[in-house]
Amino acid sequence: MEKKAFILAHFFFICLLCGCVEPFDSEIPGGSNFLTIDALITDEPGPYLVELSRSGSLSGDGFEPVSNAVVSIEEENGITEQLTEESEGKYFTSKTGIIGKAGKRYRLRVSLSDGEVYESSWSLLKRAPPIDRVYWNYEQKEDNDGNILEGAQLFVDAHDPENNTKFYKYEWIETWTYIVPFATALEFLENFDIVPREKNQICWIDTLSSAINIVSSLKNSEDVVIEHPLNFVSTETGRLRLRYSILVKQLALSEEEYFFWKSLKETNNELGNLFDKQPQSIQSNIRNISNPDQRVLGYFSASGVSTKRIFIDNKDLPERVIVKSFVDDCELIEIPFTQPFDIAQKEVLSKIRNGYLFYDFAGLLSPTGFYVTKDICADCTIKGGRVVKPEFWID
Amino acid sequence: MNQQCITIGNKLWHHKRKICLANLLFFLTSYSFSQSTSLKISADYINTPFEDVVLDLENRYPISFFYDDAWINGVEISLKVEQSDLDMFLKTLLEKTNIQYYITEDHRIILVKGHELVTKIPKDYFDRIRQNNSVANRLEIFEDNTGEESEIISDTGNIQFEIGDKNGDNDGRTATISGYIRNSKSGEPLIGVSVFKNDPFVGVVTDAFGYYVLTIPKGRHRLFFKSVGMLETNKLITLYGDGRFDIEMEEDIVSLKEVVIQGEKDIVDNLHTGRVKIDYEALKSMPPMLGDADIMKITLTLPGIQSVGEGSSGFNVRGGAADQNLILINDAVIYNPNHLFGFFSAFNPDVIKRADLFKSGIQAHFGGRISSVFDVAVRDGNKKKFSVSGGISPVTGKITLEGPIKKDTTSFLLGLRSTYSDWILGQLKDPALSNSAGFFADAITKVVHQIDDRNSLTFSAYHSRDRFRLDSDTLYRYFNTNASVRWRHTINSRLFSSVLASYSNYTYDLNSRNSSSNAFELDYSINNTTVKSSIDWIPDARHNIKIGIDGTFYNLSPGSIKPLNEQSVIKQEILDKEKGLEGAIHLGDEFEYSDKLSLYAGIRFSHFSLIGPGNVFTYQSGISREVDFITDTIAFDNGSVIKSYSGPEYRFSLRYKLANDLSLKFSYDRTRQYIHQLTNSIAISPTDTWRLSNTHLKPQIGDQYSAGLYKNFLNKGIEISLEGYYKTTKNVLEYKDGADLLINEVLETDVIGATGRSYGVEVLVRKKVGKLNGWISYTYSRSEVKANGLFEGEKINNGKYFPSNFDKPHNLSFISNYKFNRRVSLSLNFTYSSGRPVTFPISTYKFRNNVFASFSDRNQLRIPDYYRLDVGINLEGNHKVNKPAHGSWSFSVYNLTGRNNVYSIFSSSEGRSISVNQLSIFSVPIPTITYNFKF
Repeated sequence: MEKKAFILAHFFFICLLCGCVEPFDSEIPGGSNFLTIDALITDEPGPYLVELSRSGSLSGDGFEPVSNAVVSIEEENGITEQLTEESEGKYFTSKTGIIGKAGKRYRLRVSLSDGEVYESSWSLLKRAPPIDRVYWNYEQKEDNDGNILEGAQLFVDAHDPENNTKFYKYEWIETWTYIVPFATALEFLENFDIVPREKNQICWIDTLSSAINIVSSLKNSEDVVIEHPLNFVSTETGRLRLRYSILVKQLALSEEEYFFWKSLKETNNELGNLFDKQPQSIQSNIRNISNPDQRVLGYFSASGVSTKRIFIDNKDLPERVIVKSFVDDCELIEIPFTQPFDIAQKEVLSKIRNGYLFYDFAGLLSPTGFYVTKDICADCTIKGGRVVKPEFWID
Repeated sequence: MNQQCITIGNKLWHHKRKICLANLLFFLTSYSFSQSTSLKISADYINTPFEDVVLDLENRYPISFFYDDAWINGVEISLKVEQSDLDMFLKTLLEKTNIQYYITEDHRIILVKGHELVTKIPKDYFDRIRQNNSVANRLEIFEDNTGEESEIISDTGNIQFEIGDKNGDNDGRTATISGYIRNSKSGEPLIGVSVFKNDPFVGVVTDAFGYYVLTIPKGRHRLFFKSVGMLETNKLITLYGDGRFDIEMEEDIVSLKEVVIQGEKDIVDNLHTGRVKIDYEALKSMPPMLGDADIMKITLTLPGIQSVGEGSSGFNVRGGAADQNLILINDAVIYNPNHLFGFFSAFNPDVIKRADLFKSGIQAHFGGRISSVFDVAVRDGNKKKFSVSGGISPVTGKITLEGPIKKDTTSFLLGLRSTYSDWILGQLKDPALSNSAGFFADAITKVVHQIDDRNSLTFSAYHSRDRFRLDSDTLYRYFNTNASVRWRHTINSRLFSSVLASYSNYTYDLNSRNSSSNAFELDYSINNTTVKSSIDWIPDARHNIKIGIDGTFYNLSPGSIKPLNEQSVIKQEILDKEKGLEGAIHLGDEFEYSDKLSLYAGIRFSHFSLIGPGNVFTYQSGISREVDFITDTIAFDNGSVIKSYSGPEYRFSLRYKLANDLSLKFSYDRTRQYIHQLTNSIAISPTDTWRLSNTHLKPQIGDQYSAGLYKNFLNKGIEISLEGYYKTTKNVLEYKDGADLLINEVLETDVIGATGRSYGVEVLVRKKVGKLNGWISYTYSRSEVKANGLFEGEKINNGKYFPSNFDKPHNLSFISNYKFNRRVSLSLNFTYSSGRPVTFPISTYKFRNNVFASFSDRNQLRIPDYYRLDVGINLEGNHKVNKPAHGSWSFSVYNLTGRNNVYSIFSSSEGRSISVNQLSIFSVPIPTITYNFKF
């Protein structure tokens, strides 16, 4: 008993060291809405997008697009192309227009309708060496809540024999395929008619990486990236249920851009523990020409890109592994026929209005009712997938 | 004639009817030996308190009594007499006590306990005196007693000590007495003992070695010795010439727990501004945190001293950075004064004698840091007997051993302290906790050897180790090691020399073995070897001159990173060693111009050389220093001077007494610092590195003006001080955004030389005596930095002044200790401070398929205000002097109200949402129980 109390006291002590993290409960003074410029030119064919918006509140709303600006990208000692606003705040180069070339320097210029002019510094586009290998290990990992997850940890290897790249950024697009258990081929209309519809059983879905993944080989003896971790695909996500693919993009960064991303990552992603660096206001490479002290958010990047795609099939995983289905908790709900009949029909309609789809009639020999099921279980496009097999997909 | 109070025996008579020396001498000398009187006394008492008996007798007869209350306390008298003669009556009255009586001709009755007054003095006494007429004629006592041949010598208190060669040179009216004052029980030198004579008052205070020097007129004097925690004593001396007089004082067990925070001298008398002394007793009265009273925590409650926040290890003095404090333990530098990120300080409270903090008015013999000096002294081991003390709490255990190696000559002290967290963590089943580590231990030892009357040698050594692993796989370890030897030599009663040699080392390492391809070990170390030599010269009572020379050799390994196995892709990188030599000469004089005006003027001239081998990078001019812009590398050979800096440091203090209990002070200090600590975290973390000044990192220079008003109230029962300061600093390091300071060969590309300014007003009200004691301190202060380099990237916040990390304008502390009785005391402490400046997100923006936070300019926002209430109860065992073992319990609750004080604010983005979070430490009340013992 005494020992228990003792250990308890100690446990207490250790918890003190962990500290206590809570949402900040005081008023946060709102910032003014700063101009945000998101611009990227690569050595892959365009069109390239420059997006202009205003910063939002801390709760993450706002982001008002900025229209009617004059946006141009200039190649040093070369052509300048003015971009076209195709939708609010989104400015594109033309398909046949400027293409980034390794070894060239580029600059972005933005004139707002209110007369303010913004200009980036010259950015050198560095060629990205090819990715040597993208591979994975089946691993266990602990998530932030202490749950043990299993799944595929992806890694990348690359090297630059010319010793010139040194700073790398990785982005990726994940694509996986999934099926729904109760793909419906029928549609229940408002007037209670039942008509055929396209059956969407198998879909492909993409997701873009959002984490900042950068690495520098500066501290290594050669310009190599070895066993650099990319994303972790947990069995809980259902992505590995059938077949999964990832396209890894490797961007060659300038030192300046590397540190820009590093600061962004440090201030935004790292959990506050006692020895974290001080947060900071991050310096963009874009300035207001007439008022250099004005804060501008965002960055104009010029990067060489190389890519590599791999597939992971469910059967590549260890045998014992059970991957959760991407579409989960599916069941058929039977709405029995009623007298009068329209009571049941109305019920089906009300279900449909609440996120269900009509699947089929219930009953073995003759119909005894309507089957409805959650829409995500009946149509794979509901979860955001598309039914057209992507071009790169290899079964 | 004088109104000085006399003592008989060793006790000061503090009865309402004080006997005054002049009168006593007078009536004793006119006292007739017959002791017969014609007075007849009648009385009838039954169990009457002695005091009432006295009152009754004094009412009815023309007699008066003189005695010490303590002797007759509780004595009751039953007696019946008729027309008894006075002599007879007193005999009967006192027959059951051991009190003697004497009757003077004018019917004064003097009661004396335990001793019969010897009414004769040694036969040759006056012969000796008369042989020496030139002196004797000036002895005031003889002037009073011309022709009389009586004198009192009751016991040691009235034994007359002769000082100086009475046959020697009798020129001059004054002579100098000097000597050591020691604890009779432990033999330890006593610091801050007041040594004085009255009428006219002349007094001094013993120094750090228990040494005093007092210059007074020749002749007979009674010298008084007073010190907190010790029994007052006094000695009768006859001073013929310069001489040595050593005293042992007894401990006053009763005042074991008295709170004492005081300047070396009385706050009004002390010449310098910005001085604070914290001693062991003050420390003990603070509610302990996690089982230990902490000297850093108590320091932080005093005005002008702040920390960045809970769990941050350094402290900031008057707006200075944490690396600008010279922290000494037994004269050796300690680089990391903390355990477990500052939850504990490096100083084991059981062995600390005192700590002195100099916020301003830093004398010329201190140098090397620009903000303050924090000088911690460990007490001497007991010279008389061996003893063991210790304590245990749920987190730490400690034990102190001390005793004589050779009785009265050589003593040792050894203090050990450790946590047993790792053992506990190992017992836990939770893997997250059993993989964590949090351990520290420290050991300190001190050996004091008295070679002879004129020479003493002190050796001390300190070692600490820390190890911790938080929510990562990286294990951090750090070690402090230092040692010092001091030889103190008394050349003569006016000239003293001291030679000190010390060595300090600080090392840390990090290693990570989790991933075989990234396994690494990182190491850092710094050490310095210092030799200091100084001479104190006291030409006369008005001057105290100190002159000396210091030399420090620094040797740094500013960092290395190594792969831990063959698979690891970590590249081995070892930064070049840095070596530097810092030398200084200093001269200072404390000059008492008059009773009212005292001055201190000092100068220190310091010189620093960075010594090769080493490489210096040359950067393209006209642009911010970046790696890309290195144009040349200059290599320096081993032993060559890479870069030198030098400059004078002026120190000046002035005190003017407006009244006896009111003084005005002013000081100016210039300080230079050639070593810089690099950190861009908020707290000092063990991965912060010290680097020496070099071609690009210029020495930090501080200038401080300070002035104050000091007042005593209620006979020094309450002290009030009001101080203000204005301070500027040059070449302090600020970091460029996102600077990486670990293993950085081109540090100059990541830092900016900034300018700092700070100013403030400090108020301190202290009550030092009584059942309730403690202090209230309030500080208003600002601390700002300006980084306005010439180029892009060398400006922070557009080159304007911005609040430093430790700019906390309002600070209020309330420290109190209430003694219910000698065994139970309650302490209650409250601290408040403004929230410190932080940089945190003010808006969000969409960028590259993500939402990010945009931060405010550096340090433009503040975290919520900080406040905390602590409470503690100390239960002492009884205070019998001869009890073999003393035990005490302390219970305390840290952060009684469970205030959720915010330490830092940070944001994190996951997907598209930004959350702003606050990190708090100690957000719940933390109870602790500690048992301390001594035997």
